[in-house]
Amino acid sequence: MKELTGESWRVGCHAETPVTGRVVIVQSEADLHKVCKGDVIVANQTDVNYTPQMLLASAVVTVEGGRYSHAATFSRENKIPCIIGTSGIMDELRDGDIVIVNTRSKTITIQKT
Amino acid sequence: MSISVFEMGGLSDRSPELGNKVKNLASLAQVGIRVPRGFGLPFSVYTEHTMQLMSALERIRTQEKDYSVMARRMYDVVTKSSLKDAEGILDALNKHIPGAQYFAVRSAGAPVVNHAEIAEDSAGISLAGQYESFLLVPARNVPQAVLCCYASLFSERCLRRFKVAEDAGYLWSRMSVLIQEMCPAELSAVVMTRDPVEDGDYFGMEVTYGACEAIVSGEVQGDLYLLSIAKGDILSAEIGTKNFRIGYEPLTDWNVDNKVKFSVHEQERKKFVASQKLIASIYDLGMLVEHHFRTPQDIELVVSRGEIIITQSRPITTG
Repeated sequence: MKELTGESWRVGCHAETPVTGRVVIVQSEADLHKVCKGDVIVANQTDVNYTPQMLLASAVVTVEGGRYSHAATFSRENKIPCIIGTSGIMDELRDGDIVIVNTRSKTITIQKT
Repeated sequence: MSISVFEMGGLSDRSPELGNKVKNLASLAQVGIRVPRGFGLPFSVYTEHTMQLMSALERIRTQEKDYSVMARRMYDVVTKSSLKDAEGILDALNKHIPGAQYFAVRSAGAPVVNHAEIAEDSAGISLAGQYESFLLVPARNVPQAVLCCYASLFSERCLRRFKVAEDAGYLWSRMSVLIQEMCPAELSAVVMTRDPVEDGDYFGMEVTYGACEAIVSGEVQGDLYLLSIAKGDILSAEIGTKNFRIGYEPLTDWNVDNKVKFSVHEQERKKFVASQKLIASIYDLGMLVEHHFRTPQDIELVVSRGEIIITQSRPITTG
């Protein structure tokens, strides 16, 4: 178990309880096909082209962006837990990792790699 | 030739002929809140123009099963058509926005899905970003930018999302277009007059260097402020990363993104973009706008030549 957090991390949409899911790294739109229902999308940022896959996700995590970015706004509208501004997260997570996303504590816990 | 346009300060905010994006700004202009000079092309201009294209669009819709091909063919039909109001649009630029060199051309789409029209920038689910907008457009290219806005109703993304292969009614979607003077942004902000993320009542804003697109797209993290609703006291302030600012080159090539990223010096990144006085002014303005619309607002604004100018205001979407 490894717990990740950071000073620049911000919450786009809160979840009442932590959510658990499989990490899918989305470097670009070409990776969107990897996303399955319940996955945790980890992307640099999102735009409107990501929305069908975001609707499948149990949580969205972005490297860039702030509280009022597209990722945060779309997540909020659709009640998808979302943490943004997680610089360095791509170095910590890999496809298939099982993580717990906790928006209240602004942490991501790697449960299983 | 003269076309029917709605100038910012001179229209009813209940006009059925315009999308909410245009109506909301016009409504603010009417009460003296600074918005970019501009005008709206009503739905009727779109409808009249696309009526002549309808049979071609319907033929493509029924022939093509592949949405990417359908989108490409529909885009060509719309963008290569001749806009008979082009001359009227150029006249309107001179008449309503005299002296401006560059323009913002923004879509306000009203897609018809399952026989019902969805209003953009309403309090329901957001259509923000679904349709194209073009910035820093020279006057001569504004009519083509209007056609490209119209064509964005038929992007692959929209055709897929609204399952247009199964829904002929989508072709009756409408669009109004907002044409504004381009206000160069020294700073910009996204304001939520009631922060929708945290529990409790906060006035939130995210501020960065350059154009607002940097915040909205999520390409940079602006400085985040939470203020008390009642008095505007700053309750928390967090410095954003602000790695770069966004500007634009004049739009002359439709195949090239005219957005330009300028690196922000490390010293500038590490300090707050806005003065406390500016934060207070933005709070006052935000509360005024909320009071005007009688509902919490999601506002985009720029600071241009020292003046705060609201470029967009809509109800905070609730999903």
